[in-house]
Amino acid sequence: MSNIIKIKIKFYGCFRKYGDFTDMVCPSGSSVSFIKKELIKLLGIQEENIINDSVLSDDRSILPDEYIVHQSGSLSILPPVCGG
Amino acid sequence: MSHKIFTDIREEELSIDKAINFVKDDKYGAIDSFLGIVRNNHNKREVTGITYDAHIPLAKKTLQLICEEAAGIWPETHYYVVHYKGHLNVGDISVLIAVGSTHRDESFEACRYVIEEIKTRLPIWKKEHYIDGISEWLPGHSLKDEVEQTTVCCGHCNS
Repeated sequence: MSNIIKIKIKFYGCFRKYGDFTDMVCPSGSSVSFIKKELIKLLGIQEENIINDSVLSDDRSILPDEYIVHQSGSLSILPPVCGG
Repeated sequence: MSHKIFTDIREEELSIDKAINFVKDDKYGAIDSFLGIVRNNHNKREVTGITYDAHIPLAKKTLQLICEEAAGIWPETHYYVVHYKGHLNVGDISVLIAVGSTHRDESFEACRYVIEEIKTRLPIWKKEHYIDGISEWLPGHSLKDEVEQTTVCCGHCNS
């Protein structure tokens, strides 16, 4: 049986309407892709497209969808960007 | 070959003087600058201001990377690039880029490179505020393409 880990998801841009962050739990060994699907369940199906167009970051790099998260910690969800 | 780079995300007014002084060099005969300014209209709607949100650690890292790429393409260039975070009114400066170089071609081209890369890669978001009191986050470019450029491993390695 896999361990459960706690992940703090920090919000930016259009996700700020949900506050600065949310906490979620998932099995250790979950992929970024799985975490994004869980986030869709948490925030609602209306956010499916924007979450699918967004990326998760560990605050150092952008993580590929197949990246595996082993430990509790924080990640940022970054929607499409529009600086300048 | 040499270059100087200064990049930052700031929550205070951006200074053109600081930018010009940083990229000035006695060996260089050209400085090109670009200012992004908050305008009063977008898609036929009257805009009163913009709030910029930023993922600061990643934005700083990305700005540095963009400038290093540009310096690799146009050697002997200096860069000062700062983006604003927070609320701005119409007419305020949101992004400031200055590039110094020996001749004008390099500074024009490098400056253009930096702003175009900022538009598609910098983790910054803008919320426009309209005269009718409504505010909206603007759509943008997905960072999914950036994943391929990162060196992060699959996560399986636990390294």
